[in-house]
Amino acid sequence: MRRRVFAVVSVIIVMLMYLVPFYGLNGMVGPQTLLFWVLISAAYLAIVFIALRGDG
Amino acid sequence: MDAAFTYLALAIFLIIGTAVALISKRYLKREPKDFYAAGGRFGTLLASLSYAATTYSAFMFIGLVGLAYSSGIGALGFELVYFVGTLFLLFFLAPKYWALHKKYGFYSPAEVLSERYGSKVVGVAVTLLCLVALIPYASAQVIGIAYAAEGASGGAVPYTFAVVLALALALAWSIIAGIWSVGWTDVFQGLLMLATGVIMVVWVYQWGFSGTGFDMTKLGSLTFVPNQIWSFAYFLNLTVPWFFFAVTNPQVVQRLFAPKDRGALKGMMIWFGVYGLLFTFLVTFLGLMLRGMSVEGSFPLIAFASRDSVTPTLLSLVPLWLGMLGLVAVIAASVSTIDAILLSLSCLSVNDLLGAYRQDISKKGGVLAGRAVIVILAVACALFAMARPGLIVDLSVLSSALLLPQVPVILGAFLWKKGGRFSAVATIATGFMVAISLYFLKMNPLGVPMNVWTLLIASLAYVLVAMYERVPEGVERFLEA
Repeated sequence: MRRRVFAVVSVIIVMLMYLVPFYGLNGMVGPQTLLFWVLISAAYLAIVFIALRGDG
Repeated sequence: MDAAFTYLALAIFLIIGTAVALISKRYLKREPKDFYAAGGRFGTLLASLSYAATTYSAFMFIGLVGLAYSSGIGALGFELVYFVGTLFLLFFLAPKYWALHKKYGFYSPAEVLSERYGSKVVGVAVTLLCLVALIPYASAQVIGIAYAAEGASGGAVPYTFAVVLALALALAWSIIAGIWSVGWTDVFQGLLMLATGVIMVVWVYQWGFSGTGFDMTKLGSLTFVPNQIWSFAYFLNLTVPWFFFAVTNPQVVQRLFAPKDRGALKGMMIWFGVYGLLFTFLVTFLGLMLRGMSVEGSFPLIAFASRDSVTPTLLSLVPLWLGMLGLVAVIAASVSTIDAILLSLSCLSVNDLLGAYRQDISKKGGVLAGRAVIVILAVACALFAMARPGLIVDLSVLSSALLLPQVPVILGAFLWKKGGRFSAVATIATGFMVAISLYFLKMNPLGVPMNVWTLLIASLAYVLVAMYERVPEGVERFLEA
């Protein structure tokens, strides 16, 4: 169950990595896109860390 | 930086790296399992830095800096999709590969697939695909070194010399003690790469923006996507094969056999993640800052088609000590990938190609044959690199595209109870033909990127054939691993 939740969260994060910069932040000059990609990747690393700790 | 200092930097790197490789030889037991997979004895530090240094190559210091410089922020997203994809795939599949190695002694990624699909023909098909796809990728690393040496020395160090030196180093460090010498030199090189990345970014910031600060808005459309380079289709086309890099490239899959226990395996994933995120940010930020300097007129403006020359140009302009450090870091990034590829292709060639027809090879004979294959592959890479075939990013992406047909075969091996040798071989053959045809015809049918087509058609072929094929015995070992 825990692995299924992790898989769903992962798919959502990957989709956000495509959709937010290309559609949500489209045309915004500045560091917004850079910050979004770095922060969501860092958040995913933290999720993997937590999931591995709970994965026996 | 003149030729004498370039040669000095190369000599220091060569001496330290070779000393590390020779010291690591004491860990080696003379049997293929140990030569290629460390007999499952790597601790967290060795496993994680070796994984990172193998993954991150000349593509980062030369290709990605140039791509970020010339195309903007999309380069960061492209590399971070790889990063997230790798963590995702490692979370599910790394424990399976590791457990199969511990339980059944597998040490070749192709061997795992041969056993799962019940035929050595599958291993032969995977090996042939990897040989075709990875020689251009290894050559791209060599080209990275040659460009950097040429650029840093102002052309005084010839391209051919740099190619021969890079391959000689990779050859020596992979032959000395197999994965042990490759792994320990990776630790040295991985730390060097990261430290250089930090120093480069700090120095360039001080050099270019100490009074004013780096204002990203001056880069205009390079700070967002889509822009004139990064359309959604282009981004998707580059990221699809990169997303699956961690399972399609045998040199990184082979690292999953090496950790000594589950703790080391988990540590490898986390520390690779920390390293990868930091390194990716540093490298792309460096490219963006250099572009900012070009906008302000303090760094030469470099065209999109010449983007691989951004880092060599930087190395020719920085102080001597930093130029030497940068050059050595580029070499480290490249050699740590080339030697891993040579080692992995040697493993596949001996274990899954030669081993499919000759069952009587002794343990010592296997190691000897592996070393001979490494020499042959290094010569092939040298010949390919001498032809100066193209841009590093393009060569890297071509390699990943050719490896893409393995994706359904690998995922299906662990996640689906159907499928046998016919579905595996048909998928690889069909996917390869689609990938190579679309790449050379430069076609994106119906506006869908060519790599998406390759993945879709290969997956379709896999499912269609697997539905009607008898499943080999022992599949549950792979599903439950």
